[in-house]
Amino acid sequence: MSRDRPNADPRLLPPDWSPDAAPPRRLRLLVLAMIPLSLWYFGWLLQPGRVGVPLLFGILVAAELFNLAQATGFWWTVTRRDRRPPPRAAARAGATPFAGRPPLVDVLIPTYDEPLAVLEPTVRAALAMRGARLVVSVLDDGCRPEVEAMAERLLARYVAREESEGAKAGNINAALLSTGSPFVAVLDCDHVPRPDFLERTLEPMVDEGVALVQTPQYYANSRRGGIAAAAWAQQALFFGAISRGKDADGAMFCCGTNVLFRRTALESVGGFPTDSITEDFVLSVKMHERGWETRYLPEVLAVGLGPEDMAAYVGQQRRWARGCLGAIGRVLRARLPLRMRVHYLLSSAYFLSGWALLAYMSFPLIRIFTGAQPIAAASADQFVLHFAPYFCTALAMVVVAGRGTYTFAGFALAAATFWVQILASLAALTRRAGRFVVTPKQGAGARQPLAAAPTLLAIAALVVGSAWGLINHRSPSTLNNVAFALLHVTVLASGARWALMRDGGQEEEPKRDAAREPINAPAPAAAHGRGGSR
Amino acid sequence: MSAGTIALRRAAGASLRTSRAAVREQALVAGGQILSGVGNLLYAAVMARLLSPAGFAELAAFLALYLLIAVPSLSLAAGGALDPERARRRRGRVLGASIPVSLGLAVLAVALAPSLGLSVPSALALATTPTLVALIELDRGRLYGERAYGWVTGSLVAEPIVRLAVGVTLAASLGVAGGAIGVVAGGIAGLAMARAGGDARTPRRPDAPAVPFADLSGKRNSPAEGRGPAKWRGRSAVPFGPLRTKRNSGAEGARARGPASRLAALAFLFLAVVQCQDIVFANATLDGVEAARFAAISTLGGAAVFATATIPFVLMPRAKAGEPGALGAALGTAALLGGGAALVTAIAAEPILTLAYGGGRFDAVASFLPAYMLAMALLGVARVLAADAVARGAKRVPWVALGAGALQLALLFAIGDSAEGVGISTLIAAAALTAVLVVERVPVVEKPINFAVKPHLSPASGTRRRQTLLILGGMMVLAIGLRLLASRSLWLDEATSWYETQLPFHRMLEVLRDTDVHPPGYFAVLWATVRGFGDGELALRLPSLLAATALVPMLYVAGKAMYDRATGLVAAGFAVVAPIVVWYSQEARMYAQLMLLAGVAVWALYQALETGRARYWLAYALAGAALAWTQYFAFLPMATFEAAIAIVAWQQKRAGRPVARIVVGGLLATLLIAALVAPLVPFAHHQFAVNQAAGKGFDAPSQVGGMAENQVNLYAALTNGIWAVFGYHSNATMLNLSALWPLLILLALMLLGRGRSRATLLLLAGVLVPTAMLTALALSQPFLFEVRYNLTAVPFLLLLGARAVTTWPHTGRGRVALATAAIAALGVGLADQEWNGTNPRSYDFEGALHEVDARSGPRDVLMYMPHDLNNLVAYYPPGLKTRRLGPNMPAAKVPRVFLLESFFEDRANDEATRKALVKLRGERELVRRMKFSQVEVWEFR
Repeated sequence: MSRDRPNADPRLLPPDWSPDAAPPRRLRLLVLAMIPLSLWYFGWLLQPGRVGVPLLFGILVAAELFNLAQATGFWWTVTRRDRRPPPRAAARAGATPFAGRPPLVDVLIPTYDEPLAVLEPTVRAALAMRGARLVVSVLDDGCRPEVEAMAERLLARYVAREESEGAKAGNINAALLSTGSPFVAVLDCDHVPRPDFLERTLEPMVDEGVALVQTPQYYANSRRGGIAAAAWAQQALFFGAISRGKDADGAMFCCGTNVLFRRTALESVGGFPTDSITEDFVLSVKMHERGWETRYLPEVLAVGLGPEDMAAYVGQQRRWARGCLGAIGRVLRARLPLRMRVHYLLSSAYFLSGWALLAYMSFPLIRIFTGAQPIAAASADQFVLHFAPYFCTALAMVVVAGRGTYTFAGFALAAATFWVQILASLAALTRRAGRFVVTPKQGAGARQPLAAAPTLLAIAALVVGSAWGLINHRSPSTLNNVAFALLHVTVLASGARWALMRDGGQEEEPKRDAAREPINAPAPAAAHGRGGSR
Repeated sequence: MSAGTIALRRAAGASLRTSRAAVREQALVAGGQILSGVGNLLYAAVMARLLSPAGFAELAAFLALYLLIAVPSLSLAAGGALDPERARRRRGRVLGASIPVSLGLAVLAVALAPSLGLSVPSALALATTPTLVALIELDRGRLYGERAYGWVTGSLVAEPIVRLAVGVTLAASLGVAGGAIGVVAGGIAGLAMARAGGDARTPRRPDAPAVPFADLSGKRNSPAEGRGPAKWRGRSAVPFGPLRTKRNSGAEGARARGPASRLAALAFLFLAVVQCQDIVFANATLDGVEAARFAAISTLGGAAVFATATIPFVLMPRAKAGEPGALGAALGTAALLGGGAALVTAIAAEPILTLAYGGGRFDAVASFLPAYMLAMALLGVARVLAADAVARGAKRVPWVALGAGALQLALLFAIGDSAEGVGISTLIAAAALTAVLVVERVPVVEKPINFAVKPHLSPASGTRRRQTLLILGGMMVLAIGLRLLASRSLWLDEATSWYETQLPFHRMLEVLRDTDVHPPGYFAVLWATVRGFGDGELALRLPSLLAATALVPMLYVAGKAMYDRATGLVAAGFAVVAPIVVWYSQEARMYAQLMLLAGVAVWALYQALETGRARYWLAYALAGAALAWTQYFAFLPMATFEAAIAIVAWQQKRAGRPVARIVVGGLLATLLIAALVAPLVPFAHHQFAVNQAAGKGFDAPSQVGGMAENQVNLYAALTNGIWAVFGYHSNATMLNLSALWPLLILLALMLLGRGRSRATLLLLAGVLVPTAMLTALALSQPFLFEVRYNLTAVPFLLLLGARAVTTWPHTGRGRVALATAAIAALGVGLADQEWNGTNPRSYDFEGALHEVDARSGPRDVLMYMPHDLNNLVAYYPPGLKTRRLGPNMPAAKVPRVFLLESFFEDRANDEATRKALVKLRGERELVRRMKFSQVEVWEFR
């Protein structure tokens, strides 16, 4: 039936991804291989005789060690095994949940300026959820009459504040004051929940110690390709192997939407923190500090939309990077078990990757223009011999852990926003306050070169450097550095190209399986929207 | 027994009876044709004795021109065979067109006669030919269409009888003119017989029997069997038998048959061009001796093709009616006659030439005659296939024939500088034509057939198929052109191949077993090739040339089966220009076959694993065994494939899917491979033992060019990888290319998130596992770290590359751009490899030895180093005494001494050469030092 609706809302189709566990034996084998291969590479790299220009060598080693730490954290995370009984089993083993009566749940849908076409399917689907007595509240910080009318029409509660302090966190906190159900579900306005969302997320809540149950954020518009697909490739790795691993150690944190809270847990930490732009992350730290447990339910129970243009993606990444990097101090000070703290630090420190990439991009240019290089007394032959096995196995680890969902496009998009991470870390270092910016829910439909200006500048520098090198010294060593530069140019250009496309590289028609039926079927009029998540 | 079974049995019985009837018809008409040929020969023999030599030469010229006009006229017979009614109607038009030509010729006879080598009366007689043969063939065509085969045979036989009777009688009194008149009279008699046959006036149903000779097939007129059109026009009892279309019946059919008969005429006209243009080209471009040599084999070849000339026309009416078995009968007859002729000439070429032309005159072409007869046999088969296709409504046959003619012409210009070159051009064109027509005929079944629905070919799929055939045809023409352009001097190993194939077969096997390190499969093929085509450079490399060209369609087939059409086309495009493929297409060694067979094996295995069909398992087993017989290192990919079968079976079992077909098929295929390879084991064991005992073992062979020599390291691996994709280049270029290794990091990153299919995994395994195994072997035997021993990976790499090109870009434009860029990059690699002059694997022994030949006298001496060059020196004989470089220098009385050195990287060679140069400088004056590619020559006096 959806075939007849070319612009049908992709959120109404079932997801084509499931966060199944990667084959554990293969993962462990790869980790076993990675240990000697890492030693093989770093044992070779860290010999005193390798030092070329000391400063450059130091930068290279720092970048490599940072990557090794991230990689080790990744390997460690994805091989964690959850030894707790599954929620259903726990539910069966315990008393009848919620005294045999469907519990009361407040469903909060914060919104600011998103179009009705984005919001209404979410509200409709929220109202259709089973397994609880619902109060669906549309938290409209935009105070829009049409939203109020829509809420009235659908029999949802409409909540509007006079002032929008604290952004999303403040909006939810305000709603918490006017509601009283023991459970609170938070859905971003573009995330359409499945009817069994509450049935499934309430199961782990049988355990009184569980503060929140997080579910994946699936980008339905990833089917259209382009920037949304690339962003989804990154999300898929996180909500697949990484989140499973974190959950195995009880370290899963709230991701802001598609999450069910226990009200008492929320109240115990004073609601969502409004002093952070990644309120969900800090909230989780606080809850863990107070001894609450968190759960990750690896099932797609709500379907949303990813960023559709470069500006939206950059804005989202800037907020995440600034918030997570800003929370590093908070994590370090937190009274948390070491294992949990490491998980938080790994997630926060990921946003320093941009510095490593900047270093890697700079080396070929420095070599071409000055002849200086970080490594000396080593032939390329030796370098490749030591580096290639480590690098290839690390990539294989990503492939296996991500079950093939992590794509080159995802990698390239992350690389192309290296500067966002650099700026965010500088802002965190100088303690400049971040600002919560709502991610646009629809693609701008225009080229956005400014959103990728630093990347385009880096590309230009690498191209000019390569050309200069080729003109002046056409030796194999120059060619080698030009090849490195071309590698970076290709990766950066692949990631930044969507900034130069009107539609963010998305196709008109979503790629979908015609045999699949919509997960729920709101009125057709509501099935035509597009938008962005968070 | 079910009704369906009964129907099938009836259909099978009908098919058998049809086949028998078709065979009888073919035998009758072919018998008449052969009698006609014998009568013509007899006529020529009698005339040779009756006329003076000059008179007979004039008559021979007359007959040749008569034939030249008659052969294209056969196209009219083709049109008539398909649409006799139309032939009947068009008689006036044909007369209207041919009489002015004849009159024009008659007017010009006086002027043209001397230049044609004819007297005026003969020229006037010749002027009647266009009208006469046009009418004869038109009426014979009608008779074929009406299935009045008795009349056709009568017409065929009457012509030489009357020619002989009238010609001999008149020649006795009028000389050559009488003989020519006899030929014309014979034609008139043939025409009269043809005209009388069937019903020349009353239009009637084309399939109705003609009297009096029509009922030749016994029961076939029974309404339940044979050709009874009413039966076959109805629903067929055979699921895939008579695929009748509307055009075959009724008024609409009559309208539609017009273009069909025109297409048939056009197709046979172009086929006549393929048949005739080589002799025209040879006469126009070759010198007298070469032209005469070619004329000698062409005449005999013409006789062979003459014997098969009627077969397509007999086939056409039955093919048009969709009768099963008719094509088989026609093909069998054509193959029997053509193949028989080729076989007879292969066995007794020299006696036949002696019989035909007298002793010793053309013995030199004896070795080449069977190959040309094979070309003619193929042409006979191609004509049958073309007739069948045209009769079934195929529209592209004329263009296929035209393409073959164009290919032949291009080849003639490229390599037609000798009788052998002209003949090889015709052979390649005939083979290509036959191959395309076979591909056209063989149904491509891609999915299990649903017997409940009628087979249906959509117009779109037909158009696409036509496009694909055209593209592939173009690619093959380009591929052959590039491969021929990239010709170079033989090098050491090729000279060894040449030497070995000069020996008697059993002796060659002994030499291979005692001294070589390769299995005998390739050498057996080359031995036969040399017997058929001689031992010229082109002939020596012909198996490689054909294999490397066949890789183009093979990769298309594999790419299409494993992925999709686009991947197949791009892979085929890669194969056209891939430098390494082009390189080994011009090397008289086994590597091109290795690549082709590897492509066949992986395709067949993939199909076998996907479909479980026995034919694919058989193809896989045969290709695998052939690989083993071609090169011992083929065991690496074969071991990989065997492991792949086991893994797929295990995966299927684990997934709960049926596994019996894979297990049984795989097991039987493996057993078949083992059985086929078993005879090779003692041979290989003996080779190994003998070589080990001789202290050579599988020691480092004379390795050539590049940095990867005798070492196992990463740069060597990169170098091998670059060779496998971009071909051989100078060391400086290789250093620069190797420096681009960071792009491999990019490649690895770009593989993130790529889907993995069984096809991709199979191909990747075919590349990586043998490479890893070879690397492991090379750790103890470094010389094995050499791309030549892993060339089976090349087709797999090309397929994987094509897959990447066709799937990585998101837009069609992007795909086209990337494919173009990739092919252009390969083209640049090819150009640098072949024509830059810095390729370290290019050895110009031919140039060096020709230069020595030009500068030396018979008393001069050439010394060469290394000693292994003896076969090369024997192949390119420099016209002076030659000897291996030793401690003693030639005596002072020797006027000039030439010293030739190659393989400079061998220190022992180089040292010996230096010492010899010092000695020679002490005794003689250095006149000149000449440098050729990888070869150096010093001239002393």
